[in-house]
Amino acid sequence: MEYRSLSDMGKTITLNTHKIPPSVDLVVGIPGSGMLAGSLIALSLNTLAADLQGFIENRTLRHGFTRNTKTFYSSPREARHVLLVNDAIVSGHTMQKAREKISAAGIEQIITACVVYAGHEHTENADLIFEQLRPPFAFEWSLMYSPLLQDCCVDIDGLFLDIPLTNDVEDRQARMRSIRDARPLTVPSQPAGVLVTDYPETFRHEIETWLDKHNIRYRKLHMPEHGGVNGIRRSGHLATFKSRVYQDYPEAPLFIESSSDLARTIALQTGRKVLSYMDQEIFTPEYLRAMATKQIRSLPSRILRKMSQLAFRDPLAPPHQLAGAEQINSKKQSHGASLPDLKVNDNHNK
Amino acid sequence: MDYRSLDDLSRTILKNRHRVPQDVDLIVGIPRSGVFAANIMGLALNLPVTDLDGFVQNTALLLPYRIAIPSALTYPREAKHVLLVDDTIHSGKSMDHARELLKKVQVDQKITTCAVFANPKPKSLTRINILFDALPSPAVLEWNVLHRDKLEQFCVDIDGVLCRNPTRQEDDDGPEYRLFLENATPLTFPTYKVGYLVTSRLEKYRKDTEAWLQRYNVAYNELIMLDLPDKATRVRMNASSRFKACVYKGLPHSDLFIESERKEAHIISRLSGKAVLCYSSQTFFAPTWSPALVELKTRKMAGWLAKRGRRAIARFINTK
Repeated sequence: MEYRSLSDMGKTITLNTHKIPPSVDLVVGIPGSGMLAGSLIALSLNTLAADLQGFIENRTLRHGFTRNTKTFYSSPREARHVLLVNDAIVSGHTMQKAREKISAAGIEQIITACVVYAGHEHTENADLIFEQLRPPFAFEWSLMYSPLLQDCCVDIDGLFLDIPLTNDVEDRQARMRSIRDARPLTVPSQPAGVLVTDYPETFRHEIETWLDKHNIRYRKLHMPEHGGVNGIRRSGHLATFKSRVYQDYPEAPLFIESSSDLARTIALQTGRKVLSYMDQEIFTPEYLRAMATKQIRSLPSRILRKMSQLAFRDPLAPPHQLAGAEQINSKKQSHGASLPDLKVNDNHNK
Repeated sequence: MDYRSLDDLSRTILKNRHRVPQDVDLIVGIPRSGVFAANIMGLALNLPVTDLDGFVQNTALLLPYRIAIPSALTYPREAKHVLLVDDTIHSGKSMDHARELLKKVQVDQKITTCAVFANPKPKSLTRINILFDALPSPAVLEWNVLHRDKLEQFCVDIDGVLCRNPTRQEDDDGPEYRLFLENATPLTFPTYKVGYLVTSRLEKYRKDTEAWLQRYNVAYNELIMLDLPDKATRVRMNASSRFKACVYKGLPHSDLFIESERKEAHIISRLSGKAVLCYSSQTFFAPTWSPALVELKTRKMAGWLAKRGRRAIARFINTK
């Protein structure tokens, strides 16, 4: 599964801005995520942006004060060449409908349809495609609303529920009450496949009621048997638990985890794709392998550089890059140290 | 000088989304870049989004198919609690303007104002209810770094920022390279006049470069090129980044260098002791400890001390 975050889209747009015909003087975004791509393209081209409805109704355009735009006009119909933007083509229906709407309104401007991402099908609906992806693909901005979510394993804490489980021994009743009153951070519109949480089995009733109350649908909910409040909670324990759940669903294309460290550990333990949601970073087995190889390969040169730096010979060598490399090294070591530790823990549980 | 990329914006919104009041049922973005932040926020919180004009004129909300919350809103004015969003606040002018506009049309909804980044000064902080992250001025943002009037103080590289890099075959220091200089595909068009175009292209290609810049209407104050006989000498002397750093260091008012290559950006930042932005990877290199930075700071300090000393002496003489 291919995944693109918002900053990936920004980079794709900056690299492909030159493909857009220079005569374009208005960007029209299709409501929803097309507005997101549209406003990014408009910022990068420095033209004005409108949404589809506003364009059809000829609503006045407004812009900020800080920037100098290329063109100044107040109504969208004054534009001569319009770029119709959507983020991706999946079925091609949205683009077709938008075009029909525009032609029904009797608009004669030149219209170029543009999408940032597209698969191999339905590409005839767009005149400009910035990047072709191999399906299935998911995006940061629509992940929680895409049907792909039905197959994924999703972590509840930090994604939907905003009360992190802390290690301190606390009043159980107070904890239950705070779960009951917690607000949902994101409500997915598709049922999630498998939900995983840090809260132990003893909280099953509370969590299930909370999910029901906020209309979060799912196929199954997995909770660790031990740990959590009044119990032992260690991140290593949690990672093993989550990896085991992920291993139980071999057909799941992605595990969505909120914290970056845990996501990395799960990817290491399972050898499958894990997305760290808060940092929008995807850990693939290939990526982890490549990182490890890079570390090992660059070890001699790093040692050499460090030594030469100690001798104050090379003024060009950046010292804080070295410090960063050391940090990664120490992290790796700590991972290595935690892995056998986990196994011991595992046996103990059995 | 500080910098925020698109990645920073979306991460800040994701990490702070719990601070948005729970009863907010509509997000309104202030054009233009505020609409963009509002869109990300709407996607993160699963709420309908509109822009300021749509809200004032009460045009029907087009709910994308994915909205799961059975939100009963079809018109923006039906909302009870509105979150007014802008991406950055420096002077607070656009926020004031938006508020005035809302006052004029007599909106009776509860309005909470929110900024993703703002200057942590009382002037701007009093204008907003929720601030996600403090961003001290001066700062630049990925989405408008090439479209601000400050560009007249910046140094900008040509290859990789304004036009694409030459391929290895094209970079032969001969006829192929001239052909590339003539027809290079432009990547970005800055809206304002660029202060200094600093490039490691050789001085002998000045005419071709100037012709290309004129063809694409790139306005600039100065074009600074490397004065070496040929490419081989440049490679042998490893002159590219040193040259850029040298030029950048010599321009006291210039406080940002926009460079295309990451490694080179880092070296320039170290050698000049000033901020460098790598445009292709959107990494910002703030000056860390380096001899150049120490030199810069010492000079500044010396200047300040001399000024104070001169003043003290003048005062001493006057009182006598």
